[in-house]
Amino acid sequence: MLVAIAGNPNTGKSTIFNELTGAHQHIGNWPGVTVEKKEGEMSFEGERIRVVDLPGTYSLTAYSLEERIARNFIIEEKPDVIIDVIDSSNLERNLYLLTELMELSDRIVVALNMFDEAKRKYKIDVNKMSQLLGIPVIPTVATRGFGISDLQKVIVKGEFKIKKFEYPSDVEERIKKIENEIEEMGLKNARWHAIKLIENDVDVISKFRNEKKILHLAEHMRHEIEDIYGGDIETLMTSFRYSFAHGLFHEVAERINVGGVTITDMIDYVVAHKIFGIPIFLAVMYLAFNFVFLVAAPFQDIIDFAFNGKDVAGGHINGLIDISYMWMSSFLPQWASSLINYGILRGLAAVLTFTPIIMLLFLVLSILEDSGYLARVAFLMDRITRKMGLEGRGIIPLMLGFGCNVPAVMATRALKNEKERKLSMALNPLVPCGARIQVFAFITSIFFTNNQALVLWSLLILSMIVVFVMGFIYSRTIFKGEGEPFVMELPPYRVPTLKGITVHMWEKSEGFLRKAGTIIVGAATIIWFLAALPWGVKYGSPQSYIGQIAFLIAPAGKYLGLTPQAIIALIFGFFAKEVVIDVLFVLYGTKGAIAIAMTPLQAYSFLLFILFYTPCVATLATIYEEAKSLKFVTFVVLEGLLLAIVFSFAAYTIGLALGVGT
Amino acid sequence: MKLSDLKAGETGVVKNVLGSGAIHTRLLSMGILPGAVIRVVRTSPLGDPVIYEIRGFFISLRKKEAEYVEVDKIVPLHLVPPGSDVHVVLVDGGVGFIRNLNSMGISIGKKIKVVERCCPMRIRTDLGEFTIGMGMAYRIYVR
Amino acid sequence: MKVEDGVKLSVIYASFLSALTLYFGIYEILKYFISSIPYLFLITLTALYPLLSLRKKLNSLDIFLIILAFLGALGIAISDTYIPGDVMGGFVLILSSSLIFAGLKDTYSMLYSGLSFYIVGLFLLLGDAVIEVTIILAEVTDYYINCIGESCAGYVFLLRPEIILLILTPFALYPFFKRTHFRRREND
Repeated sequence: MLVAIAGNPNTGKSTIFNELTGAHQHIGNWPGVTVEKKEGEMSFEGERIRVVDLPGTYSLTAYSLEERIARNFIIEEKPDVIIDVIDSSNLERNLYLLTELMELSDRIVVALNMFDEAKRKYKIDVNKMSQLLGIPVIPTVATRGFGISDLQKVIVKGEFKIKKFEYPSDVEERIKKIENEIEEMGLKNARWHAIKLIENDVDVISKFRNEKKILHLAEHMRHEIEDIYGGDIETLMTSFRYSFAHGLFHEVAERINVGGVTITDMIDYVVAHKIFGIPIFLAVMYLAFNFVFLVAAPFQDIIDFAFNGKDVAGGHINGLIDISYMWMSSFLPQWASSLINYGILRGLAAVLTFTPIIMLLFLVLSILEDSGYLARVAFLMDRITRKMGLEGRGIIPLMLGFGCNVPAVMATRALKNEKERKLSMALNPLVPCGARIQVFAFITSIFFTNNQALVLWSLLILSMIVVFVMGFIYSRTIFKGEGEPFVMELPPYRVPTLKGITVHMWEKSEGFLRKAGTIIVGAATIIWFLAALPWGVKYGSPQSYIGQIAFLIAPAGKYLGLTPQAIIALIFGFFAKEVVIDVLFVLYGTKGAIAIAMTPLQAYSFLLFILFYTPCVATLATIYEEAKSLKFVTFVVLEGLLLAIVFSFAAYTIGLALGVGT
Repeated sequence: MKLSDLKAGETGVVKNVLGSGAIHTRLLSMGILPGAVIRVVRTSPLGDPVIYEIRGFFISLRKKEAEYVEVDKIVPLHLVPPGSDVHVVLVDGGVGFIRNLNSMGISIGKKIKVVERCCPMRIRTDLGEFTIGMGMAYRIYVR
Repeated sequence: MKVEDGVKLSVIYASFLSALTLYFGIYEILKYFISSIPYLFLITLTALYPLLSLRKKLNSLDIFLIILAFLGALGIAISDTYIPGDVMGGFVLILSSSLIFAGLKDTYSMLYSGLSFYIVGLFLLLGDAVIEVTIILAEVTDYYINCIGESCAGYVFLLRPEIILLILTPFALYPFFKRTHFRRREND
């Protein structure tokens, strides 16, 4: 048995899905797109039922990706039951989707979610609603698990004698004519297809492009209806459905109080205030940011210590990797032991150290999203981010990028539009993350002792300008949107539930660990091979393969002012940017040696290169996981390299010409 | 007049939704349909997206999108200064509410006069003088 | 106690609280530039301005509270044992304090327009304080983790302004729980 969950966004659809399926779920993407697909299994009295969570939509037109996914799923997979999750405190608009679903299926269960919240606003007659519609209507409060068992029961045992709503008779008789023609073709969902043909739905029209007769009939009918009622067909048909929703709403619900000021009104009054709005946004971002990166620190440090040990005054404390290396060396050849421990296990440790940040980040993001503040961020920042081709929520991944690009790329999920998500992922690596800023601080402290702050600021501001300009260019060329409108609902503020947050947090972190983790460990192993071979050389030295590669491209590097040692450091930096410092130390020995190895101009060019070049492997793995496209990952790599080369070359050449810092 | 021309706090009734394709259907499916009452709640600090209230929920529209919606400006009765004559344009409520108002002589197209504003509000209709609660006045729109 | 009186008392309390917050905020940002005491007096006086303009005549309770605020803030300023946060931390404090200030007068008259600022300001302050305390806990843990295998001194615990504010803020929340007693402003 197959069950699909449909509903508007922000109705608690995914909470219902989680409650129904428990731990038996699988999260992936819908084929070919970055829209998340959740699938799970529930069992009821021995029957196994597959449950699919459809994307949240307001209607089922052909103009948005989510809506197409949802309706194609219903048409092609023909779920046995559709659960329509409705936000009961916002009945009228939610009932509109129901009218569309009713045209596609007879077996619909209505879940009146957030029933407790609605009770403060309306008196809802559930039985009457069920009678009027002829389908089961179950009040639920998914966050507290209320009504879930009833829901499970009616999915299997419910009675469905659906009373389809009817358009006015002039319209009905015309629908019927087309419906008859389609039935002769032997197509399922004849009525739905007929209605969509009249409505001039682009997808359905192209499906019937060979049936000239039917298309012609539909067009004729469409014009007749437009003439009778006056107005365009989409407005008319939507109005008919909405007036049904409106009528039903007034039949079953009675408003309790009118005109009171709600908490949401009060908070919005301040949070979207002309003067205070943006400062409050900055304060919230600062708090969230601080919380994530400072609270993650002890967890990261303990993981790092446990695996890698630590250098102390009296020598080195062995970590798990060192211990296991010594143990394995007793029965394995040294190279194998080194590969397993310093290649694979070290990669694993790198993945694990990312986990606390990712868990905390998604903790904060789900609080922001579930509470409703994220929608306000979109509202506040839209004017700025729009210039970069992003909606307002796009500011959040960009700000998070200053901490770490990995969670920032994952945070692009907040963006609903496919094009905007990709654009946001392409821009994110250009934001210097914490690790890169650490490298900047170190290198500037060596070369620019007198004006360290100035150099640091120049890099940060340059990156902001580049992000903005690239966003501006991309959004008008490669990632040009189809002009999907930015019509956003502002849900009322709600206190997020602990359960909702933890489930969300766990889902994301688990996904990262399992999928991106594998790629990172793989990359760590490759790096090990390159740095340790040919056998017998010092790890990462100029004689190793990495060193040889670096010397091979050194002639080209000269134009950018990069020394071979700097190139080795950059190649290692691909694994994790902060490693650049360690490698420079290993290759040059002391701080003083680094200081005389490069001129300040070369150092600045080196900094510029680090600022833009290829993001670290963890970021790339995450981008691959999110976009599921190697082409896109290659694009990001090339974009970074190209920008790095352009800026380093420009800075170095201009610097030489002017004789600055040589 | 266009929806984007209304200022914060003003109310309009939708006359027509222009445009085509994605933006047209999206606006319609959010319930922005001829006859619907839409109120401008607040403008973003940076001036662009604007929050509107429609059918009891809040949406934000960019100016460019709001330009597709044609509206007539209307005023909820509770904001009408005393002593003025107004025409009822729209009554927002269920069957019972409308019947109740009909019995007081308040229905679409009728002329009413606000005698005293607050509280409760006193109005004069064809059928005589009545007092109505503020809660009711919020839901009667006049021009 | 009548709700109105409770709200009025909370407003008076909150005006001191937000004066203190403002002081902490400015101190965190300009730590090296102000010798604290003259500023403290100036800020406390400014903080009292809304209160003074609300009441036509001061009663003994007001005077008692004013003296208490002076002494309390003075004590904290002189003891000087807390370490400052950063510029942004100070900014959050100043923002919360100005939100509370913006709402004081209307909250006092039981209007929603005031209560909105009042509660957003208080919740921002509360959120800041809770997060700051969590961060302190994390820092202590981190300090000891980084100490493993080395001999280092015990963590020196310094009082941060957020901790004081965390204890003081909840008492000002009374109007939030009595929000149904508030009115709209006319023409609103």
